[in-house]
Parts: sequence; structure tokens; C-alpha cells
Amino acid sequence: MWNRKRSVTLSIVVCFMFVGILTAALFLGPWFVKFWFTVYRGWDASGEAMHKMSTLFAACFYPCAVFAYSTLYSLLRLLFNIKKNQIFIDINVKYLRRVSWCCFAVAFITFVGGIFYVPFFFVTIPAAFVGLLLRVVKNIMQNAVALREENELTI
Amino acid sequence: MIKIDLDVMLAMRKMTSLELSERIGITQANLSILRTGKAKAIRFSTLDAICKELDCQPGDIIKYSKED
Repeated sequence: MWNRKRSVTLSIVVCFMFVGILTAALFLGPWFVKFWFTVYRGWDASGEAMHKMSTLFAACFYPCAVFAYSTLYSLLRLLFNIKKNQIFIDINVKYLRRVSWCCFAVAFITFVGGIFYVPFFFVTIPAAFVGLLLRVVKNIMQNAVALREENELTI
Repeated sequence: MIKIDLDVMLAMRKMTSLELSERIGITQANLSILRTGKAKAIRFSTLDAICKELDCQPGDIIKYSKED
């Protein structure tokens, strides 16, 4: 039957899948950008515009990938702690804070990229919103840690 | 600041902390938290059991001092 432990295991598996997808995207990204703009937009593969667009995508995507790896690492550590039944601990608050800041960093990078290529803004807004949501969850977690400590030190 | 001072009452009743913890049904680790002042709160049931076993009033084991 479906239970809490299996749900956490599924989340861990999904996180590892995202690590794989991200790693694949690191290598296939430049090819995909070229493919998209030449096949669907009809740009010249060796033209000046294509070169500028490839540079812009690389300048935005690779810094974002660093934050994405940091996010996935934090999420995996968080999930492994949850699996060990260590939920309301300080280190989990730290992981949530890190993930939140990573979302804001991605939002900032794509905001700057959006000045040159408007569709990047479609990443900026959700990233900033998720960052904000995680910040609220982090604040709740912080209070939960304090409550747990108080409860444990009530004799 | 509120302080729990069990040592004086334990000495007066010639009782060890291990004996007290067994009598009131809490672990030695929890009694140690209480004795060292790390506890953030004390349940009425615990206070009741301590007072019963040490034959004292809450004021005999709980002290208030102005400095933190």
C-alpha cells in the first residue's frame, strides 16, 4: 500500500531523475537552442543572430544550472533527513533557505536575460514565486523547530 | 530567572537522583535536564510527583532570581 515512506522514496527518485535531466541538458542545451531557432524559427545556423542567441542562452543557462544542482542537492539531503525521521531540525531549515535563495538567484539571472530575450521572463516570475513560497515554508519550519525544542525540554 | 534546585532537597531526603527518577517515572536524562537548568518548562504532573516523593512544596525546589 501507499504510505509516507514510499512517498518520500518517490520524491528521492524524481530528484535523481531531475539530476539526470539537468546533466543531459548541460550537454544537449547548445544543440537544442540551435535546433529550435534553425528548424522552428528559420534562422541561419551560422548567422550573427544565432551566435548572439547561443551566447545569451549559455550565459543564462549555465549559471542557472549551478543553482539548480545546489537546489537538487539540498532537496535530496532534506528528503534523506525526512526518511530518517529527522524532520524538524535546524539543518533542514538551512536547506530550505538555500533552495529559496537559489530560486531567487535563477529569477535574477533570467530577469537580466529577459531584457535581451523576453521569453526568459516566463521563468523569472515562477522562480521568484516558488522562492517566496519556500521562504514562507522555511519560516514555518523554523517555528516548528523551536516548538519541538520547547516540547522536548518540557519535563 | 526561574531555577530548579533539586540538589538541596535530594540531600535533605538522602535520596539519589537515580532513585528520584525511578520513583517519579522519568528518565535520568530528563531529570538531568531539570537539574542542570536546561529545561524550558515543567509539567504540573512532574512537579506534583517530585513534591510528593521529596515531601516538599513547589517553592522549595523552584527559585526565582532577578539576574539572567
